[in-house]
Amino acid sequence: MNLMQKYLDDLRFIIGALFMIFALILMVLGITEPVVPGKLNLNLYTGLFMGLFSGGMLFFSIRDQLKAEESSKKKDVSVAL
Amino acid sequence: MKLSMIDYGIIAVYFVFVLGIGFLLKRRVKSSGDFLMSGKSIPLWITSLAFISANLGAQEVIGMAASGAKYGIMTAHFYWVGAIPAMIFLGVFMMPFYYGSRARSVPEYLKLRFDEKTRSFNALSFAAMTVFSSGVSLYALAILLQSLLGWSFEVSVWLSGGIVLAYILTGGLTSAIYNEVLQFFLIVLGIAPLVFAGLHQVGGWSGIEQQLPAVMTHTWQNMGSAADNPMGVNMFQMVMGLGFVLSFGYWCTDFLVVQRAMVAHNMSAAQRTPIVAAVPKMLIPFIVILPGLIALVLTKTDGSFALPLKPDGRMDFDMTLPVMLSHYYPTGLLGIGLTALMASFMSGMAGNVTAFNAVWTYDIYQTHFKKNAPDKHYLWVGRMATLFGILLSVATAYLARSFNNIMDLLQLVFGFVNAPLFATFLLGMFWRRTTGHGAFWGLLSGTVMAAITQGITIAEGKGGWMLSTPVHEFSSAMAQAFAIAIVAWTSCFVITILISLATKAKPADELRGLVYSLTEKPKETGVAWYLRPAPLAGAVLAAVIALNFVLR
Repeated sequence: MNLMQKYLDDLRFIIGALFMIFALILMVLGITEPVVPGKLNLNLYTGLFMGLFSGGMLFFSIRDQLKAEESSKKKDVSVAL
Repeated sequence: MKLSMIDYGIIAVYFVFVLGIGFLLKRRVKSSGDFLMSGKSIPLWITSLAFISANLGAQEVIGMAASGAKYGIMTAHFYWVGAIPAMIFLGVFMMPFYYGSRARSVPEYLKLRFDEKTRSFNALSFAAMTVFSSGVSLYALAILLQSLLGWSFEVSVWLSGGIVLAYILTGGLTSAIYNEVLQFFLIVLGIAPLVFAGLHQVGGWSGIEQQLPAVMTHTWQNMGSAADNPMGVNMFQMVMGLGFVLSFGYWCTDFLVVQRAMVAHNMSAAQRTPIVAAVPKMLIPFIVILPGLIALVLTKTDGSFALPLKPDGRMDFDMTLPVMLSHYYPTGLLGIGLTALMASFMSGMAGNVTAFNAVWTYDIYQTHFKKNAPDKHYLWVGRMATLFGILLSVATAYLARSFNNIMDLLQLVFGFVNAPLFATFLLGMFWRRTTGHGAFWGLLSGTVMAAITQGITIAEGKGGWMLSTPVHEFSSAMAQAFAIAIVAWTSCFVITILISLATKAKPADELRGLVYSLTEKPKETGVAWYLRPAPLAGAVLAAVIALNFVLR
């Protein structure tokens, strides 16, 4: 199974990808919104928070997949030896 | 409410992901076990979030905001009294039997513990109830989309039904569970900014306390008498009716939620699923109930905010959340908020359909129609049951549109069947002398007693159909519902004991792994406390007691 397929099998990667798309849309909307004094820029704040959340999900998913890949390579080498 | 192209784009991206999950999981489905039970391979964090998400349907998200506006923070009793203790009990005491018995469903446990007739009674009523609930979810979603966006009823019903069908048919229960987790995060992240913005405007919790009467901001202080609080229930009705009978009856015996724990990858994970789920569950009131309180404050202090009125002139609390979304959310976030609402409806529907297809395939079809067919045949039956379940849900949605009273009646009848169920499980798991005849007749008598209690009492004009002058009038329909549940549970408990004493019990050998006293307790030495169900349950219980104390 290739690495991409493994990522797609990991729910954290799927959740991270979806919320990263949402976060980017909200941040772009938030940045381009005119500033209104006393009013919260909800798109920007929510986008930033979602960005952090999705970044965390993607980070842990990618880290674990790379670890698993490395350990399976080590196994292959030891079997070959 | 007016959506822009960006909002529609967000909804479209979400649907692509939902369908993509089903497509990606398609190759994992090779047997009926994979399709109907996820091959018992799901990690703990996913089963836990799916456990609460299966219940985080339309009623929870829209209904709890409405209850928050109607009853105040007392609505949190539905979580802190009416859910968490039962979830802990399920994890610590009941999961070892469900998981350890290798039953594939809750009705199948009843077959192993009691007999075929008790299983069939439970399986048939449960199958009918799930399809009905799924149809009601679909109906509510269509009505919401019609009133908010002007979408036609037909388009909403068939489109939502089609999407849920597509992702369950391809990826089975795993797909439904993965989507429930996705929907959980969407609901939390999509509605939390609303609470944040609302609290910011009204001056936080202290601002709410200043603007609303004390009865709306305390959970226990006005429970001494039913007349002192807006729910119209007293402390006994709350603790015994909601906190014990209804709550334990739902969380500990309803296959829809128990199924999520049963697919965990081992016994410890299965036990910890409802306990870990209890942590986010105790915090959900801050997301779903607070908008109701904030809306009440805004109607007093913000001239640009108003809840719509019903034809009789009262406030339409069911519109609390949609009105707040359109009040606070700009383009972009509005698309996310609306997607979260749609996700909550679809999550509730998918949960019901996946529970229905498992019960139909294993407990009805395999038991009564074709016993020893190859596994491929049951996989096909499971898929057909999914299609059949969705079509029945669509039909139910149309029925609800035409005959609203029939839906109320059906809901009432199913309530009668559910109320006594926990007594059957409690006796079955903890008293080895309980017999199949006792369980069956106990269940039946509990159901009949529930109907009689409703027929001879009245509340808010409901019930009292058996007598020209009802014997008692309750202060609220909720108090009547709690009282019916207490009567049903008690009669089931007593009748089951009496008939069990008069009939022959199963030999001890047949009850190993099914009854507490005859089941070996797992040893958990050398495992960290948070990985063991009992200490983890203790910590969660302490946290929920603290929450009740803080907002007493």
